[in-house]
Amino acid sequence: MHHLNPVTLDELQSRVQSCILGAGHDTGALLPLLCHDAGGLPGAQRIAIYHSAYRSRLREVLGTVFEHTRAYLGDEPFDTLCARQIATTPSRSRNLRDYGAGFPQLVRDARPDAPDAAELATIDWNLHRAFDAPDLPLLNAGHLAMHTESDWADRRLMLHPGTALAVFEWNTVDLWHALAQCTPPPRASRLAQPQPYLFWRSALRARFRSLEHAEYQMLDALQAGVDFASACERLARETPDAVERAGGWLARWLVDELLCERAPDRND
Amino acid sequence: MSADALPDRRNGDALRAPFAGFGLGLRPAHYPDFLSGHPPVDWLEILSENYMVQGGKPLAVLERIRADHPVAMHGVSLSIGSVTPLDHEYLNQLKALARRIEPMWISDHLCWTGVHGVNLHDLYPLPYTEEALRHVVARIRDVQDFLDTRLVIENVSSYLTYAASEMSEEAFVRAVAEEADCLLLLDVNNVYVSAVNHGYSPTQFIDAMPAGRIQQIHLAGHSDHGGHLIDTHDAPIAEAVFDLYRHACRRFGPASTMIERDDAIPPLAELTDELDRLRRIAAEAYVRSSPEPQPCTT
Repeated sequence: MHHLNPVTLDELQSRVQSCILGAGHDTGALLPLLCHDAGGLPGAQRIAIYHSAYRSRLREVLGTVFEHTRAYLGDEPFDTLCARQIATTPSRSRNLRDYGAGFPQLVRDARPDAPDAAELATIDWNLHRAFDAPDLPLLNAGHLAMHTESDWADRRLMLHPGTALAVFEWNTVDLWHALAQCTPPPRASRLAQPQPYLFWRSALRARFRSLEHAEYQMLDALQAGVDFASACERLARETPDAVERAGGWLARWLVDELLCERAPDRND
Repeated sequence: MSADALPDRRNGDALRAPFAGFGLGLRPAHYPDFLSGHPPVDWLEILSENYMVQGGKPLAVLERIRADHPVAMHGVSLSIGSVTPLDHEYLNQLKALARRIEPMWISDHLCWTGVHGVNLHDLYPLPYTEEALRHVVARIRDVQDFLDTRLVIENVSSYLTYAASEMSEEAFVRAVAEEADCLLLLDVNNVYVSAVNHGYSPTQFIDAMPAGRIQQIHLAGHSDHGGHLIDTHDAPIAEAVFDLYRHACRRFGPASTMIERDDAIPPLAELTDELDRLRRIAAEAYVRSSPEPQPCTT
């Protein structure tokens, strides 16, 4: 039955969107608003084209971003997780590349039997975000040469926006490397102790490497906004030679394009 | 050219930017071709959103390619027809990208892509009503004021139409262009796909377009699903679309033309061969180009 009263543009768009975001069989509120050509494609099938395209587009982007997670889990289990993500989390960004931020957590929640897959998803997402993170002026080794050690203690260092830290409990990095080379992944196994990793971008490439615990603590503090001197002091309480080693880390971070200088606060 | 050199919409005598020739959509699979040589492509169209990031490889590569090739910016997320207020953060990013790469022009679609903060990542048709016309004309004018250039607005392919429509699609598109004083990106494949899906004449649609506002022409492949066509951009241009392009060339004369391949990306040579065929069709058709048809007086 056709509605006698015309709907506003606002109502029409809201109804179309509800129908697209809905399960797919609930077209009742929208069908009366569509033209139905005699002999043409039925209205429900016309809606189904958009309904299916929405899911297919988001599934495709998840499959691209989480390429290694998909290869590890297999297409069908991966698609099941995608369907759950798409059903529960509409895209709220104008850029499809942003879709998937919550996917590693969804894998963790939906697949408690596969914690290694959730860690793989974290690797995929962190590399994806590093790839096109903002370009900020980087500090380099030339800056280091111009300043004394005490200068560095006072500088307001921050990690480049593409940097991320994660701690893995499984041999996920071995799995990732095997999948990246299209070779059969090793058997998943829990590590003797949790292993921290650093993700960042250098020379336009997204990278990752393992961290020893003390270096991870320093980077974690900088990531949280703690200044370099305070981070050193905090670490020195637990690790006696931390301050000496911090100089070496600093040199490597500069070479690796990890560091930027935080903008001064207004009251500085 | 600076961003200030985008076509000046206050100059009423020269609506269109000069004819740029025959171009392609820039896709990552072809980055090496454009970085290492000079393929026979006159200009490139970029998907704006792919470069509306704040750093990294996409922008670095684009700047290198831009140094040797004219570029047009083509967006998919402006959502000019949505009832949700214009997204000024998006517009600021769009303007920043335009300042950075100095495009020949900036285009997006005559559609809406979502409401209430959701993005459906698809190009939904508008109802062809006076209300939608007023709404979209006002928003195009606002965006043009913000970007200080005429927008180039593309007709979309569609699979549904609304009972509320009060005019034909071609009447709506023409009214939008004239009342918003914007330019048009005529997607000839979209015209064909929608014409088949909704049972109208694609040549009549093209004949109804205002020739002086056709800034650019898109071509792409589609897939045939029996009773309807899907605009997939993953295949060569269909013969019927080549024929319709010939008709458009006769109707509009030289209009910057490009192939928009988005999926199943072939080696660049396949697309430049396809582009050569478009060049030949256009060269022959421009000789026979006709002036704007006069309104029917019967």
